[in-house]
Amino acid sequence: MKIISKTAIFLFIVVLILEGINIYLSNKISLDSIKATKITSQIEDLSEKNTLLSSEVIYSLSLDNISSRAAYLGFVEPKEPISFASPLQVALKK
Amino acid sequence: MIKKSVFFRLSIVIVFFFTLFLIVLVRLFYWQIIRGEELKNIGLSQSTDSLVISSKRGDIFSADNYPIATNKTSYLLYSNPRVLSEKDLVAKKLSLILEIPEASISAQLSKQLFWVKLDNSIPAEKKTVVEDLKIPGIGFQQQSERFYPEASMAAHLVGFVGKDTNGQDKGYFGIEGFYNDLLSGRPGKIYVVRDALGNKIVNDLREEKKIDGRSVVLSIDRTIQFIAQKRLKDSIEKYGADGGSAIAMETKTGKILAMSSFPSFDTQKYYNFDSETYINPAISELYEPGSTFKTLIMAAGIDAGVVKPDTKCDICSGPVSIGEYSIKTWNNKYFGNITMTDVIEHSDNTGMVFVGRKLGVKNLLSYLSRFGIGERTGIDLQGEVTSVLRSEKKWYPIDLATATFGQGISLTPLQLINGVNAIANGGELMKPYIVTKIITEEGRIIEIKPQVLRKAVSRAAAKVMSLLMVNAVENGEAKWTKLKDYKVAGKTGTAQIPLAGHYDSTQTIASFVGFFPAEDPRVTMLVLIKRPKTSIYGAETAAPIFFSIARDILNYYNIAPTR
Repeated sequence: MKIISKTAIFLFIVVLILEGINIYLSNKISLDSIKATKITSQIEDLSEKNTLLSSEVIYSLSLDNISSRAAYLGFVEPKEPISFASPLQVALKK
Repeated sequence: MIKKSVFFRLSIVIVFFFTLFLIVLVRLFYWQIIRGEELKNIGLSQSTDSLVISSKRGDIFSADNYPIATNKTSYLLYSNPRVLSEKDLVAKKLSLILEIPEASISAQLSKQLFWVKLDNSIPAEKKTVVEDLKIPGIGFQQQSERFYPEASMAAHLVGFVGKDTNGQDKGYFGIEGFYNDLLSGRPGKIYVVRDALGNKIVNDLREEKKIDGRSVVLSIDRTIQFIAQKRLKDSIEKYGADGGSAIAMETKTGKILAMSSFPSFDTQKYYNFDSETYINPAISELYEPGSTFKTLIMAAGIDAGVVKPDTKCDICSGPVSIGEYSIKTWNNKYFGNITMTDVIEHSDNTGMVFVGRKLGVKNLLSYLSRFGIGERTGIDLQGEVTSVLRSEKKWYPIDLATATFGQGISLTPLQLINGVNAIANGGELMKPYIVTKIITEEGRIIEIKPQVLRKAVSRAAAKVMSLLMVNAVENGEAKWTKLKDYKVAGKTGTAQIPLAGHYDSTQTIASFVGFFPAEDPRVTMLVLIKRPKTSIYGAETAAPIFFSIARDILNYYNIAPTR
């Protein structure tokens, strides 16, 4: 009888301890789940912004946009090609 | 020992139960095997939900990896009219922000539904403004929309994305149309099974993974396309023309560097334009090429050995009579014993009749086939057409005569430039193409290589013809507009347009075809102007456009002057 009751008490304590561990771990996981959900939401939000900004960048780089801006800013077409470098000297007078 | 009567009754009972069992078995076979699949599908349709996962349409890149067709995010605005209050005020506010009629919003909000669409393709900026109003009962759904950042650049070549009869995205015309299946990919599906009470059975989730569309890289050089488009558009306005086309091709490979036609349309808002403008005249409209065609006929004559540059024409001292017809030169000037070099220089029709007679119909048809006339080039664009060459028996002497100077025979601008490109390319006819790379959904690159279709003429004949074309530019009608520092091989064309069985001399298609630099051609180009008003001649309209584009291309490629 004594052995049976001692075994029962022991098992009860083990159950309590395990239950405590279970509650602690569940709480920890749920907090992590909340963080994971927030991060996932942030990722989606940033992906959406990234896609929108990509479209803006692509449009800015279009020749159609650049030529319109250039015309607006007063740039004109050169009549002749412009050279930035003066001709190289290939022979010098001694 | 069992009595006979008992045995007999037992047998009957056994047979009876066996028969019952057999009937049940047959019935089970019928329901589970013969009609099993059908019943399974009915069951699935009753208990399964499916959610379509859209695939992402592939991008179209220019040669410099700029996306000339891509996807952007836009939004669909929806509302739940049942929870919305002050509908008139909401309609007014939304109408101002979205710039759509208030009546259309009011009409949607008056419906007794839980979900109504108010507008779609809303950009992010407008979405933010609407969200700031904090109106309960409205929301946004993200969409993917086709986006063409270069607006109407290469509109005919790129095509556009519209809807098919099922409301799904589908490409029409150009690259979007030709490569629609490749660009579309395949949408995915998620199947969710529900129990009898409508609850999801989480463990039973089937999925067909989506396959995003493949992307393509074009041979189109954005800068050359921009230059060609701008020059062509400005010139069409200057000459009061109805329209025009310009095609630039990389000589040695057949890659299309630029293709522009007017009138054009905006690929983003194609629905605002007449559907006739969607058709690409460069590949889908036939025209009589006029004198530019002389380059192919003369090259054929030289290759066949029936004429040489110094062969003298003994019928060119006046108009050539063929039955009731009289073939004249464009300016009624005649040169007795004119050489073939001068025939091209002066664009002499009587000289070309001489070459045609030397060739004969059979040879002429053979060479036209070798140059690709009468068959599609096979370019990877939707909508290419071709005329059909009549068989030899159906050619009369007058047909032979007029064909030699490009009248009475029709082709597309692409067919003409492709034929002339063979002359520039040492006699080799290339297959014109636009897509140079395909990028798979996994990022693997598939290269498309240039393809030689056949040998049109010998290298020697091509070289001789090139020299004749250089001489035509140096000394012919277009010499006033030639480039000072570069040798260009070319030919003018002024083709009368056939109208109701006769030719109208006041209405022409003015053109110029050529390649440069002549010594080692990099680019072959054709410029074509329809019904110019200021002057009907190719030398005065198409030629200046050609040379202005050529000058810009030579500068762009940093090609050093050749003289």
